[in-house]
Amino acid sequence: MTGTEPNTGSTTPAGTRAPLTWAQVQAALPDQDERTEDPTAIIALFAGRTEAERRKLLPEYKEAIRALRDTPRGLRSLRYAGIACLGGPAGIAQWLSREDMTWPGRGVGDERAVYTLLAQRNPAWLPEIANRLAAKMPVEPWGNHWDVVDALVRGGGLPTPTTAGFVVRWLDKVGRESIGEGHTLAERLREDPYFADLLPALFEADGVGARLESQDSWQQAGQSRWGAALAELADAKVIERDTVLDGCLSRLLRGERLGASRAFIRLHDAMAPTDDELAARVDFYLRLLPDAPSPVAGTAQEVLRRLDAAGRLDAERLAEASRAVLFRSEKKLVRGQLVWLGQAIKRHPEHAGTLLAGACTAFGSTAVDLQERALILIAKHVGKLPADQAALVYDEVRAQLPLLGEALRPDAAALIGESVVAEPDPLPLLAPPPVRELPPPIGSLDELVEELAVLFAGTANPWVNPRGRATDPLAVERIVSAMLREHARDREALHTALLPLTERHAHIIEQHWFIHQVQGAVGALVAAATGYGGSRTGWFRSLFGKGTEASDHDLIPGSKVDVDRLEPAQRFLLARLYEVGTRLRVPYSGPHLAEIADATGFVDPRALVAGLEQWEASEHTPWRRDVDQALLRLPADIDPDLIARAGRLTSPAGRRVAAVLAAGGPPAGVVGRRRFDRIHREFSYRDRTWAHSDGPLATVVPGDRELLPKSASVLYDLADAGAAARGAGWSENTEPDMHCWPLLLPRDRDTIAAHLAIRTQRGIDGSSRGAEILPALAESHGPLGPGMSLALAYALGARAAEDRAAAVDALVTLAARGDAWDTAALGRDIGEAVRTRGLKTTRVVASLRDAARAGAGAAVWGVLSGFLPDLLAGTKSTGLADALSVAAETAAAGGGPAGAIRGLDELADRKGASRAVTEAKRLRRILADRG
Amino acid sequence: MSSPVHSFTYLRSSTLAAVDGERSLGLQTCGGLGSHGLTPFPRFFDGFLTAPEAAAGGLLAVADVAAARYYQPMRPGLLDPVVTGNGDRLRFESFSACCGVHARLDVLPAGIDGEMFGTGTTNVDVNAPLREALAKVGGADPLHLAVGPDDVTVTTFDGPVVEKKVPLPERWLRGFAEVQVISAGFDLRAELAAGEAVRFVRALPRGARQPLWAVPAGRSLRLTARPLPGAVCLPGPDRLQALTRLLRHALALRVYGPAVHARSSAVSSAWEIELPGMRLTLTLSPDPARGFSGEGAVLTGLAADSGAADADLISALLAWEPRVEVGELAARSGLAADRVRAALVRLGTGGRIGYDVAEAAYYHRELPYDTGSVERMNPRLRDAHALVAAGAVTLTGTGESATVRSGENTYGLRLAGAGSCTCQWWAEYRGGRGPCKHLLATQIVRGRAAGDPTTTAPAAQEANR
Repeated sequence: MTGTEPNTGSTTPAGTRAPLTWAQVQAALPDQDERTEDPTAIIALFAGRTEAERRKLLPEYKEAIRALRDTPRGLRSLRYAGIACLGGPAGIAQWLSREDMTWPGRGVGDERAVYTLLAQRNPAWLPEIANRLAAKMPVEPWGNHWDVVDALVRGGGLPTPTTAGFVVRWLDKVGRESIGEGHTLAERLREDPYFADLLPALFEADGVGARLESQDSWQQAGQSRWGAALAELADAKVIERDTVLDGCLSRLLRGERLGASRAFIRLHDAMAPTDDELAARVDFYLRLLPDAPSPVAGTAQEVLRRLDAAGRLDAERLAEASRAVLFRSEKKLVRGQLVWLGQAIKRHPEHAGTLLAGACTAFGSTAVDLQERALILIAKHVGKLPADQAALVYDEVRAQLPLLGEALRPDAAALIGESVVAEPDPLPLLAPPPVRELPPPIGSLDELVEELAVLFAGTANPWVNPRGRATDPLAVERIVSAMLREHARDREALHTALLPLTERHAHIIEQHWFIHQVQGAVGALVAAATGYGGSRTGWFRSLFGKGTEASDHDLIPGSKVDVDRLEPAQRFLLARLYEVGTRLRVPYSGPHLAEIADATGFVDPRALVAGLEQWEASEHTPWRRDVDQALLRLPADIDPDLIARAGRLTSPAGRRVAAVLAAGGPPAGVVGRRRFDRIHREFSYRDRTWAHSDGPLATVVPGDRELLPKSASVLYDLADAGAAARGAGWSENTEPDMHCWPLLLPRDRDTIAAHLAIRTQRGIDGSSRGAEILPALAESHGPLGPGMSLALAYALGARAAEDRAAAVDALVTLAARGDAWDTAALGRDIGEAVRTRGLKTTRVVASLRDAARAGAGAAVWGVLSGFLPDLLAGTKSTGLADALSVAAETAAAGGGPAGAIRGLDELADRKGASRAVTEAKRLRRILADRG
Repeated sequence: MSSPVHSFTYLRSSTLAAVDGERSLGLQTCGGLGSHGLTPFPRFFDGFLTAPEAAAGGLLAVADVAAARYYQPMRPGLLDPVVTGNGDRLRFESFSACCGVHARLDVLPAGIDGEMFGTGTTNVDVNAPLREALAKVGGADPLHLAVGPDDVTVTTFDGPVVEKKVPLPERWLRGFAEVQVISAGFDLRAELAAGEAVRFVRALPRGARQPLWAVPAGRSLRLTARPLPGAVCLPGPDRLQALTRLLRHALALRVYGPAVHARSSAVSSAWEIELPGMRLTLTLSPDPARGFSGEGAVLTGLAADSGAADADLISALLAWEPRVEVGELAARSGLAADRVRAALVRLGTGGRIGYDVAEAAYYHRELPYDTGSVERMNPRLRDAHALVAAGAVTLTGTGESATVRSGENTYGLRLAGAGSCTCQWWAEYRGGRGPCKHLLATQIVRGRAAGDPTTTAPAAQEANR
């Protein structure tokens, strides 16, 4: 491009030229729509112009900016005009960093033109402009930022910028340009004008590691393009090896994210450092051991071990290295260190005591097998040590003894010649959680409005937070009661009080987006009480005006398919709430029968009978779902006098209630187990195969259809687990409302748990919530059976820590309340879920260990007595040793069923010293001791 | 939201170098108020750290928190920690960029051996080479520490100064004020021995999205999914990451939190690791998405009109005390204890008071920033004053309820207990994030109606603003 050669101002005598006008500039500007941006004309126009002349154009230039600002191409066509006219280096740098100026230039030589324009204007500005642009440069590889700075730096002979943006994008550019035939990265680097200046900056700038990692991701595993190139250049004496080695180590010491640090490790390894080089940097490696990410610490450990093998590591440093690594949580590193320590003791006989004492650091590990390895190592060597050195070891063992697992403590005590009987950890007292209290009823309209505002405040949007807030079930019940009460007291006042809500929460009250959530249903109550349907009158009318015998599909708005897809408990809950809405539309709403009297959801039977008497006196028919829900909420023990009083009721609803009362309340459902094959299958793109979801689930049959309210039959009809899995992505997010479910059947929690098991089963890969209501179910009432057992089995091995914590809570609560339940059956369910659904044993055992720590040892032993036979018979031994160790701890502490565990003897009789065998022996011994 | 840019000017970069054959950590300082008044490069300490490796780890942990952003971690934080010389101890403090984690390393008298020069608070430069050097501190050799350049250097130095320009969001300053008020309500809930502490912190789940609760179980803590009496909230367990670096040196882990009951929502908590001669305390906000800045715990104290005059009185009594007891201040100032507390809150909004949960006592510091007026710092209070000025508050009934007209809407308030409102803010947090502006305005009106003698004069109001 001849046109872009710098025209130095001196060649054109300024006085002989016509004054510069904006019309000339406009004529020289690249056309708005033209595909190329030819800067030739504008360079020629501005060559040799004085600052005063340029300033004079500024008003017109600003006018042009205003005119072009909102056009699709933006201000791009003014690019060169701005460079030529704007007032100073800061302004020009800002101009060039505008988003529309950083689109890549479409003409060839755009960057060169920028340099030319600036150089002929004032070369003294170049350094500042280049610095400012380099400082602002983003690391993301788009835009022309780098090329512009490159043109300025090279054109003006400026020092190489070393900002993160400049370095990282240089790295990208060089990496990209050296791919393909004929080029190697080393050759490319040799020619690169910036290489020498930027090499040290590679170890300083942020973001280099991540970029190296992404470049290496195209290489064979473990290979490093840059590593190979730098090693080649170092061999050719182009660069210093020390620069690279020291740079890598500094960078690693400063702390890097895991991926980025891997790149520097590979760079380090590619340099193949010699023993001399390693020995010179021994303290660097030593300091990487305690805090660096696992692969970095692993490399440092290898290096030090190599130095030790070469006899170049002193015992003091070795002891420090041991303590640092043995404190880490990575099993692999700790195991390696113990092996190394075993070998090193022979190499450093005079320091063997100190070194061996250091092995006690591993007693703090959470993995019992590592504790055991450390203890074995000590036991093996301590006998051969001279007395003064052995004393060091014994002292340390004595000090660290409490950290050891209970199984190992007697051995360790024997080693130091003490007969301390290992004292078991103090178990906390198992106390049932305090009874939850029902807040007093809502006392005023103001309070009602407040409670409604609270309910509407958090729109449960699954996209905002998949584990969003939960609906407070007691709040919902209190709101329903208060709405009905206020409606009966003064309909006008209720209307007036609620009106402001219809404006502020129109998105819930007027719209149909949330109709299948409690929030939307309560919104419908407000709409009903205020008569405010907003603009959607047709939809509003469809909500209300049904009779007392309406079906679910009549009551719940939305298409039949959508209503059918609702989970049964949610459907029952919504039908009742929408029925309340219908009641609020008519002048007489009558007494509320299903009003809860305690926090688990029981009604006061006396109030129920009194309410029915009022209904009969008023000669209205009570609302069916209200009666049905009240029946489901009857407590267990009912006063015979009350049953007699109910017997005097005459209306159909009254007689129905009297019959159920006489029978002692509706019977609980009969919950069973069933193995489901092919519940659902899904193509996993990660494994490139079909994943089948199988595993045991519950079945439910109503206890006595005669006594069961008709509308409640939906609660005894489980959803299709496969359809639930398939529909998970489609159906409306009803998860926040699950907390309301336990209150639907306060005397039959196993049925609710049976519904829940479908959810907790999906929770084992974290894709579904559900476990969070298990504690509430544990505090509720009714028999415990397969429903609770299966729901708990999956939740104990859930992926989300919150779910596991909730399951442990529920387990501990059940154990503390002393309800009769079959813990061994839970163990068997876990076993089957492990076999058929891939439940993770390790997670389950960790949860059980937590439960045992919380004092539920007896229950945990019961669970394990059911689970262990399955686990012992299985082919996979993952988690077996841990399960046996928890069993040994709980079998000793708790009572639980006595008797042998099937398969335990075979394992305990096996030869070998694997931890599973040791733990099996210990468990057998404890069981035998117990008799 | 744009935030003012704060410029830190240091005499030189902080370094760890060998001086006369011994390692010396020279921390550089910048600006701030001390017992000697305003100094550009204050000097607090010169001496030795008794547990160098743990101290270096503690400093790195504080710097880690300053550089972290635990919620939506897009841009890293950039601010330098602040250090307070409190007479007998040094306190290094920082805030995460998301304002949800406050870290403080207290180097106690047992942890330092040297000379304290005056008292005060200043920024301390932490740079990448220093991080590297701190990571290299190891072994049992004593480490020399100097906080601030010595006088000779200050007077003779004529090289270029080190300048860092970083945005200084207001919320960061507000966080300092909120943390001390919130943590003043904490009690010790559990204490774990070193071994158990290590296991507990290492076993913390990653990526938990619901708040977890820790309850004492045996010698350790157990995580539960719901609050129980005696539990401590652990919102966003990932935010305790900074502790892992110090586990090797830990002597104990202590956990502090407010009293909770079965229906509590998530609350703040403080996690303190005891180190040889030092303590590192991380205070967590109730939700990773919630910074301390918006917690609103200071607002009620600020709304009390008597605050400003009391605050002046109390501030005169502080004198860089490492332990400020409310009872003692009350005795010396002649004010009632709750008025002393309100005055401390007011001083706290300017960052002039901190709270040490381990000692259950306040301490004096002066943040080295221009904290501006109380009003500018607390928009909710400003809005409340605007509502009062517009006469939007109507007390109804016998003073147990009120209505507040705000814009298009009228809100009903019930004033029994802590009070409640029908607005969106109150609905979302139910008082868990301080009073809403309507409640605050009502409190101000009621306070005036009750005839607070210091405030009936409108001049006092104006002075406040």
